[in-house]
Amino acid sequence: MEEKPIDKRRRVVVTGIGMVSALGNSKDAFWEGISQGRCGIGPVTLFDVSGYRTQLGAQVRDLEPKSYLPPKSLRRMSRCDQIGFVATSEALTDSDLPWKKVNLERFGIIIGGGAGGIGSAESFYEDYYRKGPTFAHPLHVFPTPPNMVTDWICREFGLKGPRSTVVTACSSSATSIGYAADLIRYGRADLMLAGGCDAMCQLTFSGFNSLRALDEGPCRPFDANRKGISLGEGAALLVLEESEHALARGAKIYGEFAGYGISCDAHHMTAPDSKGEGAVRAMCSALADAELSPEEVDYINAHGTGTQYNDLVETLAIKTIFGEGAYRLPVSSTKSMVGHCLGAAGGIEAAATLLAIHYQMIPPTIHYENPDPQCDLDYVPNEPRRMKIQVALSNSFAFGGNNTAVVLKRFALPKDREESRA
Amino acid sequence: MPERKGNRHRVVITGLGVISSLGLGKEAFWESLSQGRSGLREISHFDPSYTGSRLGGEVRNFDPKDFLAAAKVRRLDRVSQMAVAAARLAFEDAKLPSTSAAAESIGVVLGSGFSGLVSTESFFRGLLDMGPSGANPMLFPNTVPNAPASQVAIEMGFKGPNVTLSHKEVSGENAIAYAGDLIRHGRAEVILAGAVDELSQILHFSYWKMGALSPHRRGGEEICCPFDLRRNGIILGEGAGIVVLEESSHALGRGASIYQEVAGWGMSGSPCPVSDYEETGEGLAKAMELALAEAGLKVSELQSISACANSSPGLDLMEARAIQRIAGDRTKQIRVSAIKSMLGEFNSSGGLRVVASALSLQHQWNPPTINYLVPDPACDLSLVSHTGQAAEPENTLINGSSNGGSHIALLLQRFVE
Repeated sequence: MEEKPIDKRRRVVVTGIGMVSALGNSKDAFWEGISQGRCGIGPVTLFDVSGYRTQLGAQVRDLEPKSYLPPKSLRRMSRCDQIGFVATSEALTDSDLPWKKVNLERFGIIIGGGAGGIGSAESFYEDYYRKGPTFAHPLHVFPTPPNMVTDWICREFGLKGPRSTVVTACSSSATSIGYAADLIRYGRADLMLAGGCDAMCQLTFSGFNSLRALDEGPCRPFDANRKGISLGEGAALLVLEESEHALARGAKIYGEFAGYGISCDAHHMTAPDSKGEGAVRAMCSALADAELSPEEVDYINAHGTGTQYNDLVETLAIKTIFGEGAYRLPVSSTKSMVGHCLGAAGGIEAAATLLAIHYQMIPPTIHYENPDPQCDLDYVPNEPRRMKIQVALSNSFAFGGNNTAVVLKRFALPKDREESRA
Repeated sequence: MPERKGNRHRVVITGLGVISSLGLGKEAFWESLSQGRSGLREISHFDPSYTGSRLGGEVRNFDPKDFLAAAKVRRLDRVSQMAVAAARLAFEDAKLPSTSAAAESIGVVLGSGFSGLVSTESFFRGLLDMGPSGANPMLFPNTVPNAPASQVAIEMGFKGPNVTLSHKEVSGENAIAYAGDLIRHGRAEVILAGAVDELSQILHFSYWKMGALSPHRRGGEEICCPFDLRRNGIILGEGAGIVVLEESSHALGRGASIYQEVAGWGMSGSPCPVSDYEETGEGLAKAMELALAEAGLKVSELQSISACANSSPGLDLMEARAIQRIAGDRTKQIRVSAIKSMLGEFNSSGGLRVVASALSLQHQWNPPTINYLVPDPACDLSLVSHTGQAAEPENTLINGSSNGGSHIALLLQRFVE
C-alpha cells in the first residue's frame, strides 16, 4: 500500500545479540566464523543418520546449558528450548540493560520457531508406538509446543510485556523480528526480544531427505552444481529497543531496524512461484516500510538455501527489483556456513546482517566453485569483503510460499540532533 | 486513501466462518450456542479408552468435499481442510468480490496449537516402521505448522501477509490481535484471521498423560463446568473459527455490512511456571485494561465478558480474580459467559470465541455458561447461566490466557462511523 502513516513512528534499534550456531555458542564465535568463511557443516551425531542422502548437518556442539539453568528446569526443556535460552541469556548480557531500572511490563518477546520441541515428542511417540502408551513419558511430550521456549524465557527473566510465538516455517524468525519491531514502533512496548531458535530432529531431516532436498555434501548456494540444503540448528535473539530509550542509557547500537514486508505466493506448499513475484513483493514492501529505495541497498543476505529452485527464483526476484543495479549488489548466503536453521534461519541471518553492518564487512558464500549462467549475480564467493554498508536486506522464504524481508541499516541520529550534540 | 480516527486505521469484522462441534456455519453455531447446547460428547473419531476420559468436542458431519475439489481433499489433511472451509464461509459471509485484483492486499493470519499433528504422526510412523525410505514426501508438507494458513492462501489466492502463530490457548486471540495490527499499520486491507486445531488420539493421550483432562486422576465427574466448584480439568475440543477483518473505510467503501469494530486489544505476560496458570490475575487484568484503554472505554462502560475459563481449577480462579481486580465493586454488573463449557478447550478456541462474541452482539443475546450448578465462592461473578439471556450490549471483552502466563484481551464494540 502506498499510504504512509500520519503519526511519526518510533524508531527501533538493536542493542543486543545472542547466538548459538554450528560455528560456536556466542555471537563472537559466529562472526569470527562467517567473517573468515569457515564451514560449520559436519557429521550429524544427534540421531542415526545412516540411510539418508547425507550424513552432514550444521549441528550445535558443546552447548553448556547447565551454567544457565538448574537441572530441574533443563529436564523439562527440549534441545530447542535450551539453545534458545542460551542465546537469549547472551543477548541480554550483551545489551547491558540496567535491570533494576527496566520496566518489565514494557519488555516483551516474540520468538520464531520451527520444529522446536518435536525432537522431544519423537522420543515420546517412539515409546508410545513401539512399547505402548504406558511407556510414553510425559516429560518428553511436555516441551512439544513451540511457545515453550518463549514462556521459559519470560519466566526466568521476568518479562511481562507482549508475548507470542510465530511458526511460519523458514520465515518464522524474520517475521518475529518484524512483529516485535512493530510493537515498539507503535507504542505497545519499549523493549522486545525477537529472533528464533530451532533444533535438528528426525522429522525435518527425514522430511527434507524424502523431498530430495538435501545436498549430500555441504550446501553450495548459487553454485551451478548445487543439490539442496544442509540442515542446521541454532538460535539468534536480538534485543530490540526504542531508540530514545537506548540513547538515554548510552547503549551500544548495532544498527536500526528499518522495516519489514510479508507476502504469500499463494502458489504451492513446497515450491516458490517461478517468477519470484512473492519474493519481490516482500522485498518491495519491506523497502517501502523502511522508506528507502532499492538504490540505497548495499548488501543482501540471501535466503540462498542451495536448492536449484530457490536460488534461481531469488536471483530472478532480485533482478526484478534492482534491474541493472543487481549486478553491482553483493548478495551472500550464510547458510553455506551454518546450514539452513529453519525456524531460526531468519533470526540468524538478521544477526549476520547486523554484524556485517556493524563491522562493515560482508560474509561470503562459501563452497562456490562453478558459476551458474542463470545465477549471475555477485555472490561474494568464498572470501569476505570489506565495504561500506549503510542499508542491508535479509530475505527469508518458507514452505507454503510465506516470504518475509527485513531491512536493517546503520543507525544515525537525525540531523538536528547531531548538531545539537556537537 | 483510507480515513483514520485518531491517526490510525480502524479494524472491523465483516465476515464469520465456523467449523465447530456446535455446527457448521455461523447459523448452526449460533443456534446451539445461544440455546446452551453442548458440543461435548463421547469421542467417536478414535478410541479414547486408554485414558480415563471419554468426552470431546468433535466436529461432526464435516464433509471436505463441500469446500474443496476431490484432488485437494486427498492432499490436504483434516486440519487444513477445516481451515479452508472456515475461510471460505467467512469470505462468502463478507460478500467480498472474488476478483484476483485485490489478492495482494488480502492476508491470512491463523493461530494453531498443533496444526498438522496427525500428519506429523503418520509421517513419523512411516519413518519408525521403515526407516528413511518410509518417510512420505507427500505428508511432509502437511507437518509444517503453517500448512493450514498457507493452504487457505493457495486455495483462495490471497497474496498478502500470511502468518501462523502458536502460543497454546491464546493462539487464536493472538492471531486476531496481530492481524489487527497489520491492518492498523496499513500492511493489508483485509485479513482472514482466526484459528484451527484438530482433536486426535495422540493429542488426547498426551493431555491425559500430563494430567490436564477431566476427570482428574483423583476422580470426580467428567464435566466441563467453568467457575463451578466441581471443575476438575479440561475437555478437549476442535474446530476452526475465522473472521474477516477489514479496514473500516475499505468496508464502508464497498457497502459491506459490519458486525463490529475490534476497537482495542492488549497483550501481557506473567512470569509464572511454564506449565501452570498464573495465580493472581494481575497479568490478565493488565491485558484487559490495555484493551479497554485502546478502545477508549472505562471499566464502568464494559458490559460483558467472554471468559477464557475452561473448567481447570487454576485458570478459572485466576480469571475471576482478574475480573474482580479491574471491576472492583462493579464486578457483578458485568455479564460473563464462559462458552468453553460447550466447546471444550483447545489452543485455537479464540477464533470461535471471537465469532461467538460477534454473533452475541449482533443478536443482542448473551450465550450461557452451561453446567454451572455449584458456585465457587472464590469465583463470584455475574455468570450468564443455563439458558442465555437477552441483553443490549454495546461491547464485549474477549479474554484469553494460557498456561505459562500469556494473556490477551480483545474488545469488540458496535461500530460507529
